[in-house]
This record gives sequence, C-alpha cells and structure tokens, in this order.
Amino acid sequence: MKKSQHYTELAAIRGEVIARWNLGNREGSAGNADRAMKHFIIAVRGGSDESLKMIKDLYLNGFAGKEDYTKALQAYQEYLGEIKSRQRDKAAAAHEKFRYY
Amino acid sequence: MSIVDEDYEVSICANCGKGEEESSNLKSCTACKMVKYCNRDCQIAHRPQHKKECRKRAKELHDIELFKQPPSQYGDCPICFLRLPLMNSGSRYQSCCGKVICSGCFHAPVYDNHGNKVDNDKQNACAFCRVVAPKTENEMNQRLTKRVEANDAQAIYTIGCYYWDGTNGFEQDHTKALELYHRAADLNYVNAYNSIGNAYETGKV
Repeated sequence: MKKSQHYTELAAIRGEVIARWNLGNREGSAGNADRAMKHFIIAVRGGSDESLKMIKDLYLNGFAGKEDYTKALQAYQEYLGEIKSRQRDKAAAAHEKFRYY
Repeated sequence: MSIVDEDYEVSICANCGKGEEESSNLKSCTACKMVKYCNRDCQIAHRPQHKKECRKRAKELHDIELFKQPPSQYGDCPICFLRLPLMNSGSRYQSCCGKVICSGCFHAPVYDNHGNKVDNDKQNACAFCRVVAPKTENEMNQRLTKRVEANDAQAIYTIGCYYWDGTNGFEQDHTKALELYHRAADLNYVNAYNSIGNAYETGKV
C-alpha cells in the first residue's frame, strides 16, 4: 500500500491526471478536504472533468469556498480553449470515436 | 536576502562547529537540506536532536514538490502543435513511428502531389509518417516488438498492459507486466508510474 502511494505520487508529480485524481480521493476519504482540493484543482488544469465534479461536490457540501469553485471552472475553460481546434471539431462531427472532450 | 542565506548555508558543521575554510567538504543532510556536516560521525552524533526538525522539513519539501503544477500529460500534437486532449479517443498512437497524433490531424483530408484527394480513412495510414496501419493483430504485435527493441517507452508500456490484462494474444503474466512498466517508467513515461501504483494496490504482485 505504501509502495502504491509512492508510485502514484511520482506519477502525479510528472503530470499524470488520473493519479492526481486518485490522490485527491484518498486525501478526501482520509478527511483532509483542503489537501484533496489542492489535488483536484491541479487535475482540473490537466483537463480532468471528474475532478471538476469532485470540486463541485466539495463546494455543495460546504468543504470548499465559492471562489475555489469559480477558479476550477475557469481553469477547465482555459484547458478547453487550449485543446479546441476546427480540425478536431470536424473530426468529432464525422465520427463518435473522435469526440475529444 | 538570498545571498545572505547562501553565505549562511555553507558556513559550519552542525555538530562540531568547524569547517569554515574546507566548506567544500561539508555535506548537507539529504532529507532536509537544512544542516551540513563534516563527516558521517558528526551526523550520527547530531541525529537525536536533529531528527524531529529533519522529519518536519522533509515532509514540507515533499509537499512543495507534490503540489507544484506539473507539465501537461501528453504534450502537443507533433503535426498541428496544439495541446493534446486528455481523452484517449481524441489522440491515437501509431505503431509505426511512435507519435501520438490528435484526432483532427488523423482525420484531415490528404492530397497527393497532383492535388487529388487520397482516401485516408480507407487506407488508414499514419498521419505523421504515411505508413499504412497494420491489418491483423499479429502484424500489430510484430511492429510493437520492433518498437520495444528501439526502446520506445509507449510501446513498452502497451506490451506491459497486454501482459497485465492477458489480451491481444498475450498470456496473462503480472510479474512480466510489472517489469515492463518499470522499464517504461525508467524512460520517463508518465502513465507507467500510475500503472505501477495501481498494480501494487491490487496486491497481485
């Protein structure tokens, strides 16, 4: 279990988004809402919509402030702006398997 | 401020208090990097009073590294230079040249030298190097093994996943899969680290 935590952290430091989401969940279930929040917002900047949902849940349950939630929403919009392109939209319209967000 | 700090850092051994001139010989505590010692004996002698602070500082340092904003996971598409989306359906890995290409570039129309449109979807060629995609599973595996020999981290990781799940004509072998994950991780392939973490969590290895 300790080994697992170590490697998941290594992955998260190098930018793995699912690892980051996992770490957030572990911190959340351990009761450290502020640390979980930090993990989730980093994951949202990496483009994880699951993390955005988690932040929304934290906000609705009163563990996070309104400014945190708006920050997360802005970060996700920024990510969408970066990945959006006309070529990709065309591909996504052509086939379901090319849907990219 | 920073200059003063640096001057302060290189000054003396934390245990015996000497070593102003031979400061190059002083070695800092690897965990906290707060104190320096002239040799191993000094470090051991100083350990009891340093232990508590050291652990606290080491934890702080770890947190600073953990909560830094990392680089984006997949980087940019090698053709359109836009950021690759997180969703796997958006980007595809080609077993020929080992590039991850975005769906837009993959689906874009292709023209030959005379300006005639080439039916790319039918041909299913790689958008980066124009090699036709493999038709059978066997051919795909052959190409992947070739990429593994060329030390392509993503190919190594893919084969590792096949071994872990026992799919695509591979027999399920968890230890071999873990070995391949470690090999890919040593080549700095990010997803491999996560898979290693998950593998240890399942307790199958």
